Amino acid sequence: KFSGRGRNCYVIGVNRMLRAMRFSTKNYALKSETLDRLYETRLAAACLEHGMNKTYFLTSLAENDINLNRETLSNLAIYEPRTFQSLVQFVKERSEEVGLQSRVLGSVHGTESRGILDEVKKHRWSTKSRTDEVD
Amino acid sequence: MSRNRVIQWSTMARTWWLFDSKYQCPFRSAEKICMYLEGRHKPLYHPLSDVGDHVVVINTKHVAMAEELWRKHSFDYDTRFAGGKSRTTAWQLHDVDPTKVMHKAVYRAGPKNLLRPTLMRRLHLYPDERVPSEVLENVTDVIRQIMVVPRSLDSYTEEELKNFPILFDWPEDHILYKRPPPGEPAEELTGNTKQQAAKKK
Repeated sequence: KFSGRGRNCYVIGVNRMLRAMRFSTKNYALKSETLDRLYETRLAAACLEHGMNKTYFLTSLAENDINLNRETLSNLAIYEPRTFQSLVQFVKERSEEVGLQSRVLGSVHGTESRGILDEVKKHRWSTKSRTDEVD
Repeated sequence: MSRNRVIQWSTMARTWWLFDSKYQCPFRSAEKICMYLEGRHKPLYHPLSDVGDHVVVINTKHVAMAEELWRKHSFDYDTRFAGGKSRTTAWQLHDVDPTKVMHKAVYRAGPKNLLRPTLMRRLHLYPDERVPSEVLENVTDVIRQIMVVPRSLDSYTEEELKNFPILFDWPEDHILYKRPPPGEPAEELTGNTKQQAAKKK
């Protein structure tokens, strides 16, 4: 770490040491930020595996008073995958209870692969169904 | 036999994915492909640990770009020598090499560090659906397409065309006027599909 005269001469070494200490104090906040971002990417991957949106997962956990931080959630996803799966299942069941059956849940990559006919049937734009409703 | 040993092998294995880029946007699909190349689809991702997978992209010849990008989007290059600046439009590059547009899109979407070349080496691009057997043998999974491939009118059967829901129809007394060529009388046309069918009969 200390090369050249910084290794042997006090005055030079002291200045370099002070600089290193300044960086280390600044690093506390940066380290937690970078690690949090890493955990979020890992969570996104884990949620993708189970067909869920990461932000939806985190917000619904918070709403239901499951206060697990991103570090523990990502570690669960790696080392205890079935526990993580149960958490995802909990969120899915809870959302059904509440009445938020969104299209985001249950589909791994969203609705991009839906055909036009399915969409039309879903929104009931056909004249046939309209007459049925009137009757 | 140790089950955990096999589980560890399967988690640490480098899988080969297939992606069909027919009628897909290269830039948006590149973002998804890069996710698999970097290993961001795995919960044990770290940028410095080599957890990325291989991706085999087929049909790069049939890649689609929005609006007028084929004409207007240009790839700039500079050799850093005198007179070294050049500009190639997307269609020109695609004519020269049909895999280059996809290659550049993935290169642009990748991480901007020294790990990017290794990622690009794990990307295998083919203009058609013809892939060497040595490569196809390794492929185990498929990356889903990003854009919905629209169905051509030919692919619909007559039944489907008949039963397709009518979103809008002209009122029955609406007449579409068609300008006749000089000398000939005007033909009275109606836009309403029911009246048209009745007229035909």
